[in-house]
Amino acid sequence: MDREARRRNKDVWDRAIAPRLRAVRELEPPPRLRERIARMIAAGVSAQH
Amino acid sequence: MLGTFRPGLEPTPLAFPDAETSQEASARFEREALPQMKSLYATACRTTRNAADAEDLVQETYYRAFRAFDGYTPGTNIRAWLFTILYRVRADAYRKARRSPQTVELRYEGPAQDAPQDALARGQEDIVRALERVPETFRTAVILRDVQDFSYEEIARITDTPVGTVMSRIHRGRTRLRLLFEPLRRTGGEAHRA
Repeated sequence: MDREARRRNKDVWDRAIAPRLRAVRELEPPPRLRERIARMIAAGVSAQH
Repeated sequence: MLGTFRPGLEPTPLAFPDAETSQEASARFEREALPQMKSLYATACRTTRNAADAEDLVQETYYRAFRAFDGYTPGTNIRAWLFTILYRVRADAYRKARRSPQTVELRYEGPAQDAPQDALARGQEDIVRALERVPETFRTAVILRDVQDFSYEEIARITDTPVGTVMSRIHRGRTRLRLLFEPLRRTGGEAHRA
């Protein structure tokens, strides 16, 4: 790969891909998932007593 | 279903340090571990390419993390610790699936289900679609480095892989992602649908 092609690829990555990847770093989980995990923690605590 | 936890089945009680009650440990778990759920869920969605499997993966991750929380050292990197568990849960499920009759679909990674709408609504359809077409080994490396911002050394520990292998996977994953993304960007996604 020549120098110009590498520069072009890096430019695409830096300007178009990297910011989009950072934008999908987090995703709001559905409430039912949070509820299931909260129930698991509560059950774990009650099992201790 | 990945999870071993089921509503109504209580997880094994934790063995807490003498100085901390179970309620205090649970409160600390909620305080430190639960804020990572959005990152874990996003990673699970991108890794499994399926919202239902992603929920199972995150639930099982938190179940194992909760059970093992007495082994976590307060003040260390809880994010890396949780991602290590997530990766192991995924690897276990993958190994199990390869032994089952449903192996073919997983091995060849058939069509991805639609990504959750809240991700697509932010205008990231093109990159998500391209990312989900990268083979999982390389996709995971790119996600951990370029989405979740872990260092090479952290990724090596999370995936229990030599740093050199991690670097190679990231390089190959990035190359594939760029090659998949560019046509999608030029055509506004038509290349994917064609």
